Amino acid sequence: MKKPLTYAMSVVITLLLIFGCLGLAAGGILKFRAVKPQTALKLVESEQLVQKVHDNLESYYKTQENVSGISADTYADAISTEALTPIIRAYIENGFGYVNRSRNEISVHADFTELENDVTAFFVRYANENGYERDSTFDAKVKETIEAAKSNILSACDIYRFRTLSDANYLSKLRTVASWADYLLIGAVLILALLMLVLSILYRKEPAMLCYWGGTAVLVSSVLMLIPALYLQSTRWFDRFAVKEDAVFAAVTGYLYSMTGTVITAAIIGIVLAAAIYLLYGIVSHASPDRARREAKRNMRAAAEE
Amino acid sequence: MAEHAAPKKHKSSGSIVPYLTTPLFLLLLSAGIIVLCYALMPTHYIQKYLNLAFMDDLKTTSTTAGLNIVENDIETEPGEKPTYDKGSIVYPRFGEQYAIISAPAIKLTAGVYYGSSGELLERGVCQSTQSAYIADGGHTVIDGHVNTFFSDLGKLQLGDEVILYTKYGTFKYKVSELISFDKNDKTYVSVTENEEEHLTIYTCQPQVLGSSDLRIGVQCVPVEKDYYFPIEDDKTEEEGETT
Repeated sequence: MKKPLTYAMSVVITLLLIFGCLGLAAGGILKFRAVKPQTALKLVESEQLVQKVHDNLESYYKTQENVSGISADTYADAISTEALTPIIRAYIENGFGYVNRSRNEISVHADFTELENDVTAFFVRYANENGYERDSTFDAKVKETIEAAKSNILSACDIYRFRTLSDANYLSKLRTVASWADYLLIGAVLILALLMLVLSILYRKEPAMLCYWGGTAVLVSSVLMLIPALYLQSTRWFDRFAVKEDAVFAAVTGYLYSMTGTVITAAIIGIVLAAAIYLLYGIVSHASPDRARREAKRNMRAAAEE
Repeated sequence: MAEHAAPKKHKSSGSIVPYLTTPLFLLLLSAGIIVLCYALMPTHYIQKYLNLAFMDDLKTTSTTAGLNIVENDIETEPGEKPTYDKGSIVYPRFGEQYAIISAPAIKLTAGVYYGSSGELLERGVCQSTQSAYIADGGHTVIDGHVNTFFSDLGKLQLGDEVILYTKYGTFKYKVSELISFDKNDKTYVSVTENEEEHLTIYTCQPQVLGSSDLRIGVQCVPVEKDYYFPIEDDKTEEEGETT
């Protein structure tokens, strides 16, 4: 650290390198993890989300029995885990697909043939037992009940509430933000390359210092990611999520904790990388001859020969 | 013999301290920049939605997806306790029973829970977390199941009394309007800033053979407020007057 001006410039460039590294990490996590449905699909199994949705619907229809008079068993087949699983997975794939622009709509078209048959059979049985005339009012009632059940089941299966986000215009905003991932990645790479070029010009006589400043940038950016991520994970901060429906809570908080885990992993990789770069700095600076020492040795050799 | 050429003296490469302290210095500097940017940027919209989405600051674990149900003993007969026209609110947490609702005309008595979930609706009636706290000004919205606690809600008439007993006061309301609306119509249940203080209570309209899309209820205006805890400034003034 011989020249204060060189040191100050190096600090400024390294500060920019730190934010460049943060941008690179953010872009990478956004592009390759956050907007892909794989994490959310894994959570369906690990958090038993299908069972939670089923229990929620079962409880709802049992409660509704007293209000609607329709036996909860009428809906049993439509809300079985086998029936709900493809709907939940479709919502996740469509929702994340919409955000990462691989799909253009989030609507899910499910097969409700069994539901329609079961509800119709219940109403027909009720009409026959009670001598109720099966007129247009009756048909309208059947249709209304089926539509309400479809809507209710679809809504329950939308565990990430993509439909709600879409209606509130937040999903399109998320889509826009997700599209910045590419620009963020490219921009970060270009900025990092440019800054390293400037550093290499600044330290053209001491190339080992490139490793020092580069390693410092990677280390600091990794620590900046690690500390808040560890705080969120250790305090279970996302448990503060206000929606307490079992399936939605488990899905959303599970996803957020998974992303936090990804940030922690990236930070740890960064710290290991920084350590490797520092090691390289140590090796390079040791192997690289000091000009004065070289000259002194040459002079001594020349004097000895004389 | 030629004299040995004296080796050229060179400056020492310097202390190791700057090498060790520079990363720490950069860490503090970059953290400071991030905090400064956050403070200067207009993040209040994001902050508002983050606060709303992650408002439940209960740290204890529970069996039901983070829901920690707290039952409280709330007096419905405050007796000789002094009361005040203005007072402090004891803010509840999500899942906490913080009031009892009573409507003598329909013999209604039920616990009011802060927050809404299936489990809470089985235990009592629920106040929407997006609505104003009871007697804190603004629009308070309470809903419940028609097949349990609110089975006779539709029998309330204009002028009937509704009382909310809380840990911080007793508040009486009068039914000012009978309402019915579609479940997708948010006119009666939406909450906006600077609304006049009033209370909305609603439930599903009971319907045989079919799901209920209609909601029925009442809107009430406050008629009497008895707070148990005065506002801090008023308390100081009172103490100043007595000394």
